[in-house]
Amino acid sequence: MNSHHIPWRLAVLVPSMAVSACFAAAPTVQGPEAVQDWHNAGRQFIESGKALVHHSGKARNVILFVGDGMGVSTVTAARILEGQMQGRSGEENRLSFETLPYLGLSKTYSWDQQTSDSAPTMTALVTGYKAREGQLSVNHLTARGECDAAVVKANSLKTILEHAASRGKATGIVTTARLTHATPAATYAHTAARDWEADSNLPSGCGVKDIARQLIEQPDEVRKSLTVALGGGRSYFLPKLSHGKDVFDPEYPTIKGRRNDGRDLTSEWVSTRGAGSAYVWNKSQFNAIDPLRTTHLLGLFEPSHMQYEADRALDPEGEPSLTEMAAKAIQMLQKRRAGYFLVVEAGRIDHAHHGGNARRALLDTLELSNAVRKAMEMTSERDTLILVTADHSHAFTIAGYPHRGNDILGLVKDVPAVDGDPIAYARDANGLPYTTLGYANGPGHRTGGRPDLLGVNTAAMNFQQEATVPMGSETHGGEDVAIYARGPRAFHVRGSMEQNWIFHVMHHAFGF
Amino acid sequence: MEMLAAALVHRLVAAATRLAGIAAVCCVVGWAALAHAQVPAHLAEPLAASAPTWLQDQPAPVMARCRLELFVPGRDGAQVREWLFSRSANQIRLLKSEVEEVWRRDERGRISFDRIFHADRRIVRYSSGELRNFGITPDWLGLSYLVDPRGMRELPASLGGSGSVPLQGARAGQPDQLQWDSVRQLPARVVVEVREGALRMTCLEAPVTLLPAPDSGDYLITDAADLADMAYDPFARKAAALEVRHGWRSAHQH
Repeated sequence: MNSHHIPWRLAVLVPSMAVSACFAAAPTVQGPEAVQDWHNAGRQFIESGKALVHHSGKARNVILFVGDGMGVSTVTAARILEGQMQGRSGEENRLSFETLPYLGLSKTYSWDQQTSDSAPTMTALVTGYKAREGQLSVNHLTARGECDAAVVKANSLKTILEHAASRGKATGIVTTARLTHATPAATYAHTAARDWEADSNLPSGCGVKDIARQLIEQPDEVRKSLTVALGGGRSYFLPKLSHGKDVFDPEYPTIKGRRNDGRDLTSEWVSTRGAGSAYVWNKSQFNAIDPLRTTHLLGLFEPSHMQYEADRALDPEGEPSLTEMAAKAIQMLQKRRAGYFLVVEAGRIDHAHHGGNARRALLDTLELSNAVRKAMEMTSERDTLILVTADHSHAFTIAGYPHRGNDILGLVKDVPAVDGDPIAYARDANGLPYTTLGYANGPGHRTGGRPDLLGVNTAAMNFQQEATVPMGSETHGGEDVAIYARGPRAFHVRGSMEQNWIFHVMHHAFGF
Repeated sequence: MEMLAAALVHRLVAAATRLAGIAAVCCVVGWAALAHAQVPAHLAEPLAASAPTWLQDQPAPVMARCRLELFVPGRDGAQVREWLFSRSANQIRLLKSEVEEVWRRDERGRISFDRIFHADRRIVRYSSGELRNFGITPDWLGLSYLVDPRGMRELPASLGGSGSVPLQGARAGQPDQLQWDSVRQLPARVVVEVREGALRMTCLEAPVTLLPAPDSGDYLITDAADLADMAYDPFARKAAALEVRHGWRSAHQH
């Protein structure tokens, strides 16, 4: 995106339009609103609040959307980007989930971390308990690297997915990360180490099951309930060797399976779920799935994480988008009369931020917004609770005083101090321009001082925003994240909340 | 010694970046195109049309042993490192002591990168998508040559010929030298001035014994995208720190 291509009604008046001393010059930057528009919009908000119906009955279905690493600054920047992509100034835009009626702030610290990783935060969301760094759905009494299966079982915390399964509801998991990655895995796995995704990751002699195996070898009620699981992480389900021969990935012929135990868990998914179950690994197979006829669907679309939304079109074998996966999952789950629980994770917002790549992070956020919009269209707020939140934030900032409509991926250009003056780049103390978006730390740090970004396309897909502290990867942020909600008992999302209370909102909404 | 090599790499990247006339050398130490990864022209320009005759756009497989020597004024002798280089049509390997860097290109032209820590029996894998996220668009030819051909292309064509081609830095007065082995399509000798003194790399074709292809071993593979979530893992910290020291995550053209 380039500021030259923003066609919205920004009136950037050139100096030739300056008027004589008798008249004040028109503001160089003008928003699209008339004065009365502000008041009218405020009144409309109040009226919509009056009309708001509090659905206090039980929820038949619950859909939990998680933007991994989607802090408030990410939401703000994504909404502006989306608006600008639509030819508007951007700031007034609202992402789909920003139209939901209830909002709270979630405190994301964990039992032992001020700024948390995804394992304890997702554990808090789906079990109701804050937990330890790097551990999935086990309580904080669990030792780091605990390998005793009996101890892990004793310390396991029942997840909302497992509660739903035990009440006869269908369940589903959709993610753009690996299905065995911390956020999705916390919904079905119990382990002292988030990295134990395949048996090759387990320490020698460790008695617990790896995460991929836990997905396949669920207790009866979860196995029957878990109707759809879509995401990445294929290599964690495939063996290194089969009958003495290397097992290579179907899409990447140089990549092998990661399992030492020789098991092909993709075929085990099909064999243990019976007729009507299916496994797919590319877009055409996914498209061919009839949700009405398929009873259990496993989709693994990459050996590791799925592509960033920005790169998805480059994948030769094709991958479904988050929206397409969410829609297919809802179609499958809606068959269950008892209702369903579905978790949908936009897992790669986090990874793009870690790489200091704001544009990819924002495009994945927009895809999450698309998926939520689709889910809103496919469900009724009378019987389906939709929650949208993040597990944690990132050290991602929106800074400076850019003028209204300034390219969110561009260099900061201020509102001129004198009306009628041309817009100019804002400069740092050394006279260099800077971008609106940046990171407090990460790989975007430039050695040798700040660069001159004039003439650099800072909106390019591979541009890394500048970072203050040099680090190989940008880190998570510790501030609160937002929770957006609609549907039955969604009004329990309110004010400042501990992250683990969100579990109770879902649990209570279901009427468990 | 590893720290020395890492330090050399870092300094050479900085030095080579300064020396516009022979920017190619930058890639010797930044491991080829990575140091220039954010220069899209690098990828976009096929070598063929303007390439000197002594550059081939499909260099033959080769194995070589490269010796790196840092000469510091006032000190006797040189600090020495040895790299082992192996090039085939779709795989390029560079072993720097216990850390090996492997680039792969599949039949669809997708390039991925493994950094292999043999002592730890672990691999950090960068998929093509992850490389893009880090702002890296690898240049296969730059990787294949061990040096970036851009700078060489700009040198006078009259220097072209067969055998060993001596190339001086394009700008007079600079001490950089590149002796190009046009038979093996490798730099035979590179000299770069660095802050500490002078760094010389000499490469000779030699049968190189590299450890077995890592995919056939029982190495633990970590996706580069996951390093950030593994701060508790000493290995992940080491792998991330190595990237920073090598500069390829933090080396920007602007």
